Amino acid sequence: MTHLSTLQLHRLRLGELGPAERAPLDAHLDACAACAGRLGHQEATRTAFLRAPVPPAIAAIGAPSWWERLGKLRAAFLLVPVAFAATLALRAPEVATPDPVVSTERTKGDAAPGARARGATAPLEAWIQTGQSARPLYTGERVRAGARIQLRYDPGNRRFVTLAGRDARGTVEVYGTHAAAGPGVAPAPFALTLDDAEGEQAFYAILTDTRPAPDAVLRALEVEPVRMERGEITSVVLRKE
Amino acid sequence: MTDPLDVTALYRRYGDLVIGRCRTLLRNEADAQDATQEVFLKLHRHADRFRGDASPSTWIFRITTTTCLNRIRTRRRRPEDPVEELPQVGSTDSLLDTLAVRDLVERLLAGEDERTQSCVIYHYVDGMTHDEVGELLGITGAAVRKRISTFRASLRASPPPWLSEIDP
Repeated sequence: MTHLSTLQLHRLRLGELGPAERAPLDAHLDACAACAGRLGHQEATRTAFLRAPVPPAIAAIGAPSWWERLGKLRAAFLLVPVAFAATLALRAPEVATPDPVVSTERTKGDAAPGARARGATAPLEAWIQTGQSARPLYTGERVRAGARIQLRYDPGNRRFVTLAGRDARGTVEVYGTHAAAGPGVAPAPFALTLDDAEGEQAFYAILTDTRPAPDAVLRALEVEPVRMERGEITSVVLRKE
Repeated sequence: MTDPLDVTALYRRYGDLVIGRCRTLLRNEADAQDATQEVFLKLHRHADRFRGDASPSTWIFRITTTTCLNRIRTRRRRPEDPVEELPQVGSTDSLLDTLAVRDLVERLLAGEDERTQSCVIYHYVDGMTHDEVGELLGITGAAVRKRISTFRASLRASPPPWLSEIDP
């Protein structure tokens, strides 16, 4: 095998490769000091990069202009009195609305699984792509084969995120591990197309401080309840039909 | 893919890839910073052109390379910004060292068309195979091979030392 390309190293580091694509690259890195050094350079660049703030010129891209902000302000001025009047007039009883977040449970080490607190940031979300837009899926929502799913996760302060899935036949697939970019919801660097195996489809985000071995991830997900030593597992369960 | 409007999240995830690439090809920190900003502006404007079947990093890598090559061409047309006087920045993760990349770019700009420039950069600097380059650029691997062969032939008069090291 010749040297790995720069792009292959980036994709490997970013967790964009599946196990089959990753295996020969890992083998090459074990044997090639030059490529291992190049990957180390990328990781060092990443570490230094994360220490620096986002440049204002970058943060300004896509930010609303002063005219758009003014428009929102105008709308707020109109809406506040209307909402206040409506509250006074109706005093309606509080009605529970469905939680648009699909995360179902989060386990930490050996602790018992606990339900996510309502209103908290979702540790794992599944979004379905419909045309040019996307919407979040509810727990247990039915989805069809061929649907394009985008996972989003919040790694918190964990350093690595491993994304995986398990279908109704119990087949576990590890999509990859990549370095987390810090607290805040981030999209998975890939979208998934659902196959035609009917039944429950679970997605998992395994949050750890060290890069987990692939077989350790498989073992963690093979039996219920799923759990990971020195890590957290969050999940989303959909129903394929 | 990240929400096309969330440029900050995109930057936190892929910014190091972009700026490292810009440093490798532009060899100047100020230029690399400017090019990085230009890349993210393009990503924001053209998010709808992202193909879901490609990886985000592949897409961003290609846009970054094109942006850098465009900037080098523009810089070359403006003799008031001589490349030679700009401070050097260390090579990042390419197969060639800084001086070799510089030599390669200079030779490319001397007479090759834009498509050939991209083919040669991806092959010699980034270590992609002909087929991988073809896939990235939307042409066949054979077409890439032909362009690279033509470029190699142009180097016969004064072959650079790095050529025999990476492509004997």
